Amino acid sequence: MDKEITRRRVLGSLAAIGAVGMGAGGGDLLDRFAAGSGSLWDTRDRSLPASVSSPYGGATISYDDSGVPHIEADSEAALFFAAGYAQGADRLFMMDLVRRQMSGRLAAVIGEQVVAQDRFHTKLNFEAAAEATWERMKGMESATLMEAFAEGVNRHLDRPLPPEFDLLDYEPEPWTPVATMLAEKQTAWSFTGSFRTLRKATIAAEMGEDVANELYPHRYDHDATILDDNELGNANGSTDRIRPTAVTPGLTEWLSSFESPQGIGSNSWVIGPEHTESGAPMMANDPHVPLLAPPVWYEMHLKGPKTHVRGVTLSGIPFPIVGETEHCAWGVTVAYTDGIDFYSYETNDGKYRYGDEYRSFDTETKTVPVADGDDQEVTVKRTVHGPVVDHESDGDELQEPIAVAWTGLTATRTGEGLLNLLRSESLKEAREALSLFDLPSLNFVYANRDGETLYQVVGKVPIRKTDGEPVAANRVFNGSDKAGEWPGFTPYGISTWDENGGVIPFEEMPHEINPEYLGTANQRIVDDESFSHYLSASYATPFRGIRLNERLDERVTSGEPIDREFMKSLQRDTHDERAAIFVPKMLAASNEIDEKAAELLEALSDWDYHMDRDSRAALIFSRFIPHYRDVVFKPRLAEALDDRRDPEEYYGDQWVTVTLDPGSDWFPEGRPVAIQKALERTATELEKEGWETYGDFNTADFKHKLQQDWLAYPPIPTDGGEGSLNNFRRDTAIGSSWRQICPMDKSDGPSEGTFPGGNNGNPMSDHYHDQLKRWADVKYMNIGLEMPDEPTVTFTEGEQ
Amino acid sequence: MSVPNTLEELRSTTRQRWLATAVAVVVGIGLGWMHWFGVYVGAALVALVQRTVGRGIAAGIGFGMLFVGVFLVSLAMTGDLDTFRAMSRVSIVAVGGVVLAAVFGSFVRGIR
Repeated sequence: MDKEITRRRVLGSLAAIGAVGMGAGGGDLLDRFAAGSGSLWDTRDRSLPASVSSPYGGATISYDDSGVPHIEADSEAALFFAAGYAQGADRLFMMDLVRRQMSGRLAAVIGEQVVAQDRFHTKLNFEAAAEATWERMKGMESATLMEAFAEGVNRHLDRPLPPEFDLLDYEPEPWTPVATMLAEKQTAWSFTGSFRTLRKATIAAEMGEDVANELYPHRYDHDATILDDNELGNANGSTDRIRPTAVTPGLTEWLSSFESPQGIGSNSWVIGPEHTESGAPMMANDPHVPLLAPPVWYEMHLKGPKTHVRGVTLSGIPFPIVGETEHCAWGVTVAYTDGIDFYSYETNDGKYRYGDEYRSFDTETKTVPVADGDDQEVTVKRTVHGPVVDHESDGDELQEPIAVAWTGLTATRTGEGLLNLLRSESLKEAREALSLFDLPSLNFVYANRDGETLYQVVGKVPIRKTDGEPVAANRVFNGSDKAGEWPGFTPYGISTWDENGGVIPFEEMPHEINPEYLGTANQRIVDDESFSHYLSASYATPFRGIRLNERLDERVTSGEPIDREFMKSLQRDTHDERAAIFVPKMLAASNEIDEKAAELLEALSDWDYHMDRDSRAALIFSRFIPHYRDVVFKPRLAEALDDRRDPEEYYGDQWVTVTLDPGSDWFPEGRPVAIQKALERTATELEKEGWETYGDFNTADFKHKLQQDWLAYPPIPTDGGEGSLNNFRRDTAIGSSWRQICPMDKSDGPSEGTFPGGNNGNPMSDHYHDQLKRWADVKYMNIGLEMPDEPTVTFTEGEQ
Repeated sequence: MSVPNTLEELRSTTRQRWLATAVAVVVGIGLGWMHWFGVYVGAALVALVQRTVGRGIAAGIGFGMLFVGVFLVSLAMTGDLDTFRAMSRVSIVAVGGVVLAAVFGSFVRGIR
């Protein structure tokens, strides 16, 4: 009997302890993840309610077989309310993540590993810039529509949240128009934020100006400019001065991790009616952005009383950035015009000199909240030029403060410009809309159904002035001497730079109306001597630009009209101009290298320079280049630079790598020896990794921002390399993303495109990566302006 | 009739025991689908109607396994099984949590 009682007591106690213990110790985890009831599993139900009330009136969303929402509405506000509803359904987490990232509040949900990021974004105070932009936009029609969009997004706050919120255990705050402004700033920063000037100034200080100019050339020596006329005047401002400034090692490396990633770029081209088979213009675009799961892009089709557009936008932005309407189609590539400057100062007693007076920094202390850690305080400092970036870890605080002026830190009007563009019905109206594109810096390529074409550079380019005279800006300016001032620029406020002659007037920005044909691939826009203003500190390497211009010139010269298939063949083009330039130099060194390296060279000897997945030569070349850069640049940089600097941060780029003079000091033993060493390392690596062809190495491996394997896309082999039009950078996972080909003759069939992955950001959706294979193989889908018949969601007028 | 007497009657009559077990399983799965503690309750109910403590604990744990099985089948039906397998730590918590709840729930059989 005693035994029985004891057993009952023990089991009873265990049952009670288990119930209480599980609730106290793991209740939160089980609430989120327990089989069956965990909140994470809510998102398995992908269905949206068939009927939703909208304060703005009737609308429908019809999802097609690729998960693309086609939205039709009775009013513009109802249209954008429904657009917000669709984005909220498909991308709520990515939207919230972008907002948190730009406002410096990522650590609040992710933890200490992202505190450095938050410190940077807090110091640059993008949030204040977004608020200033919103204040400026209030009263504009785009602002009204952004409010409706936000309301649509927020209808999902009470619905099952995407699984990422369960993983991080937080709930999103309501979406706001300011959050949309932050998403716009994030896009602009990712296209233009570069600290190259600081690296160049550092190399000039440590190794001399000649070496700095060799590693970071002001201009690449090629003829494949976007515009080739010489009617734009003469350049103002010297461009050959660097102003050596040894920027603190920790600061440079810290900042480098927040700049625009290497490889951000794009291709676009437009063909006038003279040269197409149909007699109507055609245009194509493929932006090169980070390839993520889910993709950066969100595809949607909107049809309202004043707006009918299909295209891609970014999570959190209501208006398509690249797309097509009933009247026109357009695309964008990064223009690399210069919208950022750096200023150093003399300081005394905590103040900085500005002209004849010492001024106090405008200082504010902000808190970066940290999940599962101590909140951190960040000192946000500003000078008259902009926010001060300094690095406060490891006691390495910069003695000489560096302030940043960036065009995106003032109030901008791009949202209104974008809306006007979607509604434009002529080239004239399109240009008027583009005049409001204050940022980012873009090459805009356009074609319309009236047979017109356009190339226009948009985005403000400040006219820097020292003592009232225009100057070039490829240097760190002496802020104390008032060098490189931006007249009329007001960080975090409304700038008066249009009125004060502080920016290049829109009409003077590089453009060409009705070009017969023209291609852009982020290369030099125009020769400096042909343009009347300082435009850019540097452009992208010209490999793609050379190839694009060559192929367009060849086709037009041949007299054979351009058709859809030719346009596709350009987007599929895997010719790598890097290889065309450098492989002959490698082969010329074959007499001076050993047998093992010679075997690899043999594979390159009859190669057509195409980066195709089944090519062994493409594999060898793609792996040779990084080893060659290590061999050439690392030893000398490591010797010359402070121990705390990472030499790899200061390597010359790919163009410098393949065009270095063989007699250069970078080849102390001669170029053939460098080639041999790099080939040896390549052979060792190929053997170790077991790679046989390029496709074994060149797999697209789209990661999720949370770095969880189950959220990533399955790796898939693809074609293309860093130097080809079909662009893919495996190491940084950046490359051709959205591709569109738009013929302006409607009888020529619908526009076609590829989407990098899937439109729905829910990893349990059928559309999470349903388009990945099509993207990897560059096969196209219909992206025309037809609406599907069956609505998925119907909006009826009424309050929630 | 008191609860102990009812329980004794259920346990001693084979047909009623099976019927009670089936009802407990259905109720337990329903409750478990709403909240993880429902799995604990379900396992306790299943265990309570078994003839011996040992059988009760085994049946409670079996209920937990059945619950996991139903969950996996539901994942397979919506095409999410591969995603679930890839979730590693999340899947361990998902399955481990409910099995543990069932184990503790089954110990309730020991009280009476």
